[in-house]
Amino acid sequence: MVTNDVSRMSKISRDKESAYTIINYVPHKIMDNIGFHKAPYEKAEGNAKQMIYFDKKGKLVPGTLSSALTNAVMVNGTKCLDWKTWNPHPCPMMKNKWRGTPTYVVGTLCPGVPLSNFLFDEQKDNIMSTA
Amino acid sequence: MTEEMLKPFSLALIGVVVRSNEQCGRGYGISIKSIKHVKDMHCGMSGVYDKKWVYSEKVDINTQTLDLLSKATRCKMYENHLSFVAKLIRGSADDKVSERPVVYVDLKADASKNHSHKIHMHPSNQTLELEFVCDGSIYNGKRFRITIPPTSFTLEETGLSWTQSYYQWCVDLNMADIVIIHDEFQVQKFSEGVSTAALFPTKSPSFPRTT
Repeated sequence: MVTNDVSRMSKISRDKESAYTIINYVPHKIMDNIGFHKAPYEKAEGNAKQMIYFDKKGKLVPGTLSSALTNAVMVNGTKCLDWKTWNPHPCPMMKNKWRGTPTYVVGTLCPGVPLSNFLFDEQKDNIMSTA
Repeated sequence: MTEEMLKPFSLALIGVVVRSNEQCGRGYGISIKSIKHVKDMHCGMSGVYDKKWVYSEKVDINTQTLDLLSKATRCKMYENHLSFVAKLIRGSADDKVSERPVVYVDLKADASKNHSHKIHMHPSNQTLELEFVCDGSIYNGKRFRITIPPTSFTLEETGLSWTQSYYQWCVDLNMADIVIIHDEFQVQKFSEGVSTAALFPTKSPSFPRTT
């Protein structure tokens, strides 16, 4: 559920690069579709010298465990999401592009928790038009 | 999908993803990946809302948020289960309320059934206002602008005066639930006599809507 009119803009600058809106929302229900968010993550066609967890065919190197970062759990009859996150990729060149090993559970997201996020213009147009 | 669709009480499917360990440690653990507006639905509809986790109007918002942020469950990385998104709930570290939770008032509950809520017509004749009269509530004496979802009534020409009577009847008989979007800034502004339109409750009668 969206709980504001998405009208608050950055007062610092109204240039497209730095303008943003704040969206406030409260999750009502946690849906089933969890997606394919996993760690570690490397692109199969990546530079072989920088790839650590996967080979060039996209298969896991033996000894590596790939883990889903989200799991739906039932708490008092309500579906919640347990979240893991990932450590930085060991290769310095790929820290901002690929994910390293998964962590333990960092927290849980439940219905009713108020959240706010920023929508930046450059991404917002894309998010809203392709959603 | 446009910004015009994202209004108070809009229902949207929001795709979220987890961010890196460094961002989780700083309290920014979730980011939005996609937003899809659900047409012709709103949060007042039965079945889309889970009443277990919403805020109460009997306890101040700050206390409830601090309780929420201190709960510990299965997480092993941090002390409590919302640390990784703490900055997305409350931006500042002090006790200033910046979050905008949903406060749910179940008029059939024992704690809320004794009240004298009144529905007023706004002087502009464009909207309705709810005067919240209930001892022990944080909203006692406050006024709220009522948001009427566009699909609440099947007749487009349903007038506000009729709706006012209908809502008053529902409230008097405790046949409605009140959902309030808390906005601390508006509450404080209102208490100083600056603004009259403060918050945005919607009403969802607990029986089939009229035709």
